[in-house]
Amino acid sequence: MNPSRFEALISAYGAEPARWPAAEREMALAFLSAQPDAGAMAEAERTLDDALDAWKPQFPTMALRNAILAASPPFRRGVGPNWRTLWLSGAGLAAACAVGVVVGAGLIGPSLAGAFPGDRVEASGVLSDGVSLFGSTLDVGQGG
Amino acid sequence: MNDADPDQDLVIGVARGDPAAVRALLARKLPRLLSLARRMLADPVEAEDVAQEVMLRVWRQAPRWRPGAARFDTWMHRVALNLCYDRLRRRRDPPFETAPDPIDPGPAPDRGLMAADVGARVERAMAGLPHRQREAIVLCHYQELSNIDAAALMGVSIEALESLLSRARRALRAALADMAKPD
Repeated sequence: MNPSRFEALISAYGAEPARWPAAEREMALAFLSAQPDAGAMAEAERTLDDALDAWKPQFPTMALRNAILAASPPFRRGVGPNWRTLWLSGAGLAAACAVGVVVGAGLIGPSLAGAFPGDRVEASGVLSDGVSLFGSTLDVGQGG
Repeated sequence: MNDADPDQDLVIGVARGDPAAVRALLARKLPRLLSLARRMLADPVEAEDVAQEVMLRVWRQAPRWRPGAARFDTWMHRVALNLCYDRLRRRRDPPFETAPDPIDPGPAPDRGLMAADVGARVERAMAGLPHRQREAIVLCHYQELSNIDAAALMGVSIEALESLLSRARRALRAALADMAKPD
């Protein structure tokens, strides 16, 4: 690793070591800690990295997820665990406690975490019939 | 479990018609697909269309998937990018017809609003990049693919990828130069 390569590396990949090529990451980190000027170069790139990170991703809506699920082979055929099976599972009980009356009213708020594990979901309005809030079952029923 | 392709077991499950595998693969892939399409197209509706079309192709192709030839995530990225390029080629007008709004130099706004404003400016700046530079930034910075995977997806050498990235970052820095440095 030399100054020219370090500058080229951060100019391309930015200041975050996780984005640096794996084969050069250790050498670049060593160079960064050993060379006083390297820190200033990295700081300039970090400003751009922070700006890029301010552009947050678009999260999938419930409507989009449901439309895609409904088109998948098992759900087109109306296959899958039904609501009663989910209710008896620990996941179903925990989720029901978390959502409670809102589920029963059939209305969902502007943000609903946990419909799919680890994902945030933007609700698009009243749920269509037969679609679970918890993402673990989709009883299309009529199929097609 | 196949360490080489972390999606293989789920794809096999989808091919078998396993509802749990379908839901798990959708949960794993849809946010990334939507994010990629939005960043390439700068249009939320088109981004949803692309993401949905990719997943529909996943459902159709899963029974034909042969592990070992390529990673599933790589194939999916390629399909998504091809669909994005189809839409980009069909466009005749620039995605944004007005210049970006200047940053208000008045009292510091709410942090959330400031971040959203920066995000909007970045979106405009990205939309002004040549397509290949935009693709390089999306794959490396946002999708966090390795340089090897990104170069392979783009069909370029790593040197060419780095050139695209450097030029893109230079252009973005220039487009965002009037933004105040965050505290």
